[in-house]
Amino acid sequence: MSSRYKTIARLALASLAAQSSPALAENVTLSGTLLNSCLLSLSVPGVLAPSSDGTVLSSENSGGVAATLALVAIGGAPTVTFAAPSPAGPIASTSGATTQIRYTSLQGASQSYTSSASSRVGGALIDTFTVHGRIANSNGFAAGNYSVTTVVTCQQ
Amino acid sequence: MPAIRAPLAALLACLAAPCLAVGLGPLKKEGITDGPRKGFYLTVINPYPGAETFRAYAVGVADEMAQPRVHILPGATISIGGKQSRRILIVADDLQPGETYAFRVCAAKAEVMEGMIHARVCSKLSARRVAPRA
Repeated sequence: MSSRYKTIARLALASLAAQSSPALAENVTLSGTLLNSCLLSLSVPGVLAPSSDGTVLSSENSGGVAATLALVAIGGAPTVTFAAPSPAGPIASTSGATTQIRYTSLQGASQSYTSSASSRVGGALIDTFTVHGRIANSNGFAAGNYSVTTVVTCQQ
Repeated sequence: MPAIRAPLAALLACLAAPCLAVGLGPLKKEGITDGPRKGFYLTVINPYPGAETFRAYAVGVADEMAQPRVHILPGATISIGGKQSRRILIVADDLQPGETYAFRVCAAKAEVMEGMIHARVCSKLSARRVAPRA
């Protein structure tokens, strides 16, 4: 056998030896980046309905519906702030009226009816708020469209 | 029944997709600059399945005062594809040497819908311009 064939045979044997040895360990890395963020989603806007005596428009009256707000946060439990509620509707009926909201959440937030701003500080990363609103006027309400609006802010 | 019909229509419209939804991050950011301007990137998130338009605006860190020193690019109104997010550039301008300027940038759905809740997410930003060396 010529030296050329010997060299080829040696290379072939070395190749077979390399294939039969265990593979070198390799790292498999799965990576991701989380953005410190907050996502608010209002799934039910809320509906006001009149009381039987006509002096209170509330989401808790028969026919009324509470608003439902979902919170999903990443990176830290944020503060959810509810601004002082404001009424909208015929000015003759809303000018002397009392406007309030109250809310609860699945993660334990509980705010009784208030006309002022309120906050849920550092609650939870995932939560669902149920918000009720009402306008009370002892003189009753003129016909028209009414609403109670609060600005809900998610921030840190 | 107009007083009842309008809220019910809004309620029915929300059965298919969220009525008002918005996401924003990061919720807090600080930066230092040696010039009169400082930029920050924020990400607005569209949680809807389809394209939606959102608005971004700057207010005081503890109040609702508009901040004319803050510019938002590409603009105050941002269109984002369904389930997508988009970066926006916030530029705080006219920073004086040694000044720390704190403000908030809030994002909300552009179309304001009649209802009990207006949802928004705000990021607290703080820009500091270093004082010149003596």
